Amino acid sequence: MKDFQLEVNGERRTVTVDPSTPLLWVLRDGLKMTGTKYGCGIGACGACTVHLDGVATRSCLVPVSLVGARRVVTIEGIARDAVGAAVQDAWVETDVVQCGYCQSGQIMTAVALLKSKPDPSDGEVEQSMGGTLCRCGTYARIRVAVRRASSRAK
Amino acid sequence: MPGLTCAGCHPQANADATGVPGAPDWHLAPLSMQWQDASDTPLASGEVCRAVVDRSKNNNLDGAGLVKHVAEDALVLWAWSPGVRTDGTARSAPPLTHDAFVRATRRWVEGGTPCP
Repeated sequence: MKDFQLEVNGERRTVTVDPSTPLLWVLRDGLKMTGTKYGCGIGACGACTVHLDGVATRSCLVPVSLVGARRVVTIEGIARDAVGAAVQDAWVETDVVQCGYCQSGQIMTAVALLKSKPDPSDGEVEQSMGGTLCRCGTYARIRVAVRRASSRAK
Repeated sequence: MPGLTCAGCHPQANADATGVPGAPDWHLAPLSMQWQDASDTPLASGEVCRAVVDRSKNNNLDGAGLVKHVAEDALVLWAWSPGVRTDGTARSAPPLTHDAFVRATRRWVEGGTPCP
């Protein structure tokens, strides 16, 4: 066990965990931030997506020892960002969610997309969002919501 | 792809706890640097050699740049510290040391980068 200092949603947090512990479990079990979901555990589904210095990152694959000084932003903190708020508003307005389990990962991925590409093409939306799986099949509404958030964030 | 980059899964160093390989600026080589054809058949060594020295395909590297690339680039160096697979077994490293690889590259560049 070892102490790690993390910056999570703008706050300094200290956790004492095994260095190999995935960031996902540090957030969920250590910091009780359960908005980030466990899906597959192998980086294939995107449910656990958070931002590390703004890069959408699969937190199930990142040992806490490799986070370092990078800023962690989770679904609990994304609304403080203007693009994050626009995406969340668009998600509600579009009524994207069905069961909701994957949606924090969807929103974190959409925010990363729109921050790097404020007016993405349809192809870029499909490619960027396509790696985050939704077994309810809300993809069509996700596409609409990303478009809506893109217009709103301009 | 914006929103879904290589770094979304590949950290700046190998994550041996999860078996995910990582290094700074992890990325695939661009298509101009491919060493296989569209059906994944390896190109002939002469074709690879000519592609490596073609400055329109190799990120505009001259001979000195090629030596520096193989000597210092983090992704090249990763090949000699490739970490472990998801089952915990070690990935294989190239069949020569990094020093030997750099020396051989330097000798090839000093000889005028001949291709077969």
